Amino acid sequence: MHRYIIKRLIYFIPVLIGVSLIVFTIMYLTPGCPATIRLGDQATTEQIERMRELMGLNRPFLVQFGSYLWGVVQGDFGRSLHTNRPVLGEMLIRFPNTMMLAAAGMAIAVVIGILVGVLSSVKQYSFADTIAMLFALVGISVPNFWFGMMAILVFAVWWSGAFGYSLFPSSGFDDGIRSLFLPALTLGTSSAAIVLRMTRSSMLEVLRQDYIRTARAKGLKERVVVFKHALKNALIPVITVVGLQFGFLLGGAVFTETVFSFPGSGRFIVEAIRSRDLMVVQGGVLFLAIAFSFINLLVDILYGVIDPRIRTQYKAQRWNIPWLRRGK
Amino acid sequence: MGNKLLEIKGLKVHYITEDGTVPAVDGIDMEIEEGETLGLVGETGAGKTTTALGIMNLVPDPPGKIVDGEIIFNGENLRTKSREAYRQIRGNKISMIFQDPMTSLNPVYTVFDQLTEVIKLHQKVGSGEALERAKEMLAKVGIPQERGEEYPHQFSGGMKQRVLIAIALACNPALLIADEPTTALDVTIQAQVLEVMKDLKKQFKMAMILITHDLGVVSEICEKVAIMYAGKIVEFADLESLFTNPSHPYTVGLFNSIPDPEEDVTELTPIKGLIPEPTELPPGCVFNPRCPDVMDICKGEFPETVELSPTHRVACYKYHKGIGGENK
Repeated sequence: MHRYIIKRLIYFIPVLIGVSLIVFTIMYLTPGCPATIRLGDQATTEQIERMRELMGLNRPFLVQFGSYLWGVVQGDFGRSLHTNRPVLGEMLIRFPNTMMLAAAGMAIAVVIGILVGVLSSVKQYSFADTIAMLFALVGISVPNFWFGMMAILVFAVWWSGAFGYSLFPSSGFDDGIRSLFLPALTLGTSSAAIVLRMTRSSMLEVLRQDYIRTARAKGLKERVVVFKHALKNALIPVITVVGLQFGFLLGGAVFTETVFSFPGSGRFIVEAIRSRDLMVVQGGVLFLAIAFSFINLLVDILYGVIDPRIRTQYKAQRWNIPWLRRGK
Repeated sequence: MGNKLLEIKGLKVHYITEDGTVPAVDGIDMEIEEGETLGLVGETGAGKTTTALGIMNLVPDPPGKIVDGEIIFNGENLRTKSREAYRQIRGNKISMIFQDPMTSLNPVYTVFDQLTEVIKLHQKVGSGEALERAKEMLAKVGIPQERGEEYPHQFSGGMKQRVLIAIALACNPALLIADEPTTALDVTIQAQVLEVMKDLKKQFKMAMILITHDLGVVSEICEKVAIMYAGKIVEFADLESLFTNPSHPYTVGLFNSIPDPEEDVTELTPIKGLIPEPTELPPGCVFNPRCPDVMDICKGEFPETVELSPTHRVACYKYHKGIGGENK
């Protein structure tokens, strides 16, 4: 298991290089010269030229990429073109908020998705199942920024119009958990729908298995059969979806944070796009990509915790990275 | 011996599908005494497994339904029992072993988990004592104790079936239903598993219903035999009279299809035709399209059962007074 984790961390290196190459290339090809943005419209050609030299923008592409990557490895994600503050620091201030929002959204998605999904599978084709599937369809189809605006309309505008106070604040992050509720609900709805569908289909599959019949033949309560014997098996594909959704939530937070003026890293990146702060966009996207990869690693480890067959596989795996094997 | 343990009267289990009603078990009678072994023999699709699931009240519903009949176990009609009361019997007084050991154990729990679960459930003992009992049971089926901490995927098919036998016998049931326990295993392992079952049956003094299509196995283990065809029991007899005096044309066909090892056989003698489509059973005796001795009356109604001797009865017009050749 440890060996597996270490191995996964080593795989991280090519992933990091790949992701930064993609992000860097996109930014490189984006029209607009960072030096011009840095100096503003009033700058003379000569000043811009000097700034380009200072920022190293006149070097060849690969050299620029190499030096950026070297910086990233040392924790230097570049500096904002407008404020000259380090991107990593700025992200680290805001990222915990985004993480919290994504985690809250995920918690809502997992609780609703798994509970309703299990219920739905046990009572397949019942009225409750139909309602749940309808919810799933709506949840997946409706874009979450629209859902966010509707949530603000209902809970903040109409509610305060009718009762004179607002149930949940519609923006900012001053009210603690209460201000987290609407954005988390907004963010979590579509994931809840996806988790629900996955749980339902996975449970339907598992409930047909022979070992469920064995469990029933033991005389176990149906509740135990469903939650102990079926759900643990059904969770394996659900975890994959939850992991992917978590990454999606980090990205989806960009819209939700904007709609709710939530002080997270997503909104920070959107603002950077608006002000054409290419260095922040580049560093911010790379940061989120790394966070996403880390979450994927956690998901893979979680598989092993749930499924003993995968655990044995991890154990059986030998080092197959040649330059490492030689050192051993 | 002598006490009736289980008596089934007119049991009907139907599967209600869109293509019509399938009378998988259509009015069967049988009885089994304490400590006795009954062989339930028939082709695939004859309704053997459905009969077993009917006794366990585990017929998948929908589409299956027990529509009529009585299942009297220890003097009590199980069909009037509540779900809760049935749970107390299942895995405790009546246990079942299934056909495919490869898929009948839950892959995410250890063997001990799955074995102690049923002991704790029915014997009302603590974890420590349950574990002790589990170890004893493993020893009885010939599995080293320390392997109890392993997961099912670390066991071979024969070992898994031994584990399933241990689970089924853990609460010392009065009746064990073994649904083709050796069909999925290879021949040498089959013999070993049968040996274990025979041995434990003696030790535990329990009755057993052995579902099989192997007449060789029947002759080794069983005291009574029920021959099933298309949802009906066509012949029911003690082992000796069935083997010396097979009476129903279907039973005769079954015996004829066994090649004689003494003779140089170049061609097998099958029963002509195929088992009928379950939704389109022929009128009258279900066997009439394939029967070599078919008469006009066979196409009218299903024949009443005739007693050839107190321990031998057969459902065939050949033995009806005034119809068949030999009036018995």
